[in-house]
Amino acid sequence: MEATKLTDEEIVEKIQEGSLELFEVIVKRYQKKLVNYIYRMIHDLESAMELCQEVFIKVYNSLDKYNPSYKFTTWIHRISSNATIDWMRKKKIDAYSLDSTDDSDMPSLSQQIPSKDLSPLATLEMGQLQTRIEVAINELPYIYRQLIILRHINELSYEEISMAVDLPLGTVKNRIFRGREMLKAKLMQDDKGGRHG
Amino acid sequence: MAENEPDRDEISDEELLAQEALFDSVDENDGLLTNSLANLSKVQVPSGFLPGVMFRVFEKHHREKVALPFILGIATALLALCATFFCLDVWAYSKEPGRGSFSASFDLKLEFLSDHASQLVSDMSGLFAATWQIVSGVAGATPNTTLVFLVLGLLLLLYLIKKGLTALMG
Repeated sequence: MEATKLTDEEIVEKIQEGSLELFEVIVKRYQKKLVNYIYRMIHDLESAMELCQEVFIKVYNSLDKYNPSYKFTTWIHRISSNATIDWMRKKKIDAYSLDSTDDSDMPSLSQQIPSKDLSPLATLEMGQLQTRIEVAINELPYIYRQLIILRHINELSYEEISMAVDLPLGTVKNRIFRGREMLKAKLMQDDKGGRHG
Repeated sequence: MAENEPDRDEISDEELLAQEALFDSVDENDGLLTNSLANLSKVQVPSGFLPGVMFRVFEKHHREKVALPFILGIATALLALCATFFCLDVWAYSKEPGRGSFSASFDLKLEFLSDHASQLVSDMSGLFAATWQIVSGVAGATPNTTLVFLVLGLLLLLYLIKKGLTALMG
């Protein structure tokens, strides 16, 4: 059977049996999600790449401790989340700060990645909207930002998030709801500010 | 940190269930925000990322798999090769005219080697003692460990240069 058609759990089982090369499939499946998650949490692309490599090495080292009764995606996101918190603690960044992040020097993702197949005007509008959303996400407190990214960008289910961040399901739903409300309020505030200004 | 984090207080299971149920009815698909979030630009992972991770994984795997018996096996094989080379060398030496038996040649070779080793140790000790005196005198105190290793390395280098020059000059 082709490796790419196997589930994560089946691949892990095969790696544990000695097919080490299949770890490549795992890295391919998760590299983009994890790099994006970590980057959005720590705002440093180079460090995000390094940290993501460390996460994959940690995953490889802990494969023998993986319990197949849990979803692999939850497990890998949990390792990633813990590694990110550890990194932030080491760098003395307050992971739970409610203060806004000053992103004035940080290039937005839309500035880093050119949009394709869009007219210049559409590209400009899309770029502006994405920048506003990115700024709004970055201004969210850590506890909301983390869950919003996991839910809406990494597309994890509430149950998976609950297990990945080790929080009760109700708390996860509550925080995602509040986070979304904060985002909406921020975007509406920007709209009003834009019209009046 | 804790003061900034809501919902950290102990809450009962009933409260949790009630909280969960409260947000069950919330419609997440409110169009623009959900779509915008899902369509946000993503950081592109460089092509070197995957090979980098796999290299580290394979390196770690192979390092872990090199077991002690394997290392001992290599060491034994190298030792056997050295012994064979030495025996062949002694055998060739014993075949030279006027050298006598293999065991006599073996003893002679061993004596020569031990003399050579003693000379080497003696040379090194002399050089080390002299340098130690000079460095102690210059520093005005006992040198630290790093300096000692530096001096030892320097001495070894000097000795090798000396041997090289001697060999070149015949």
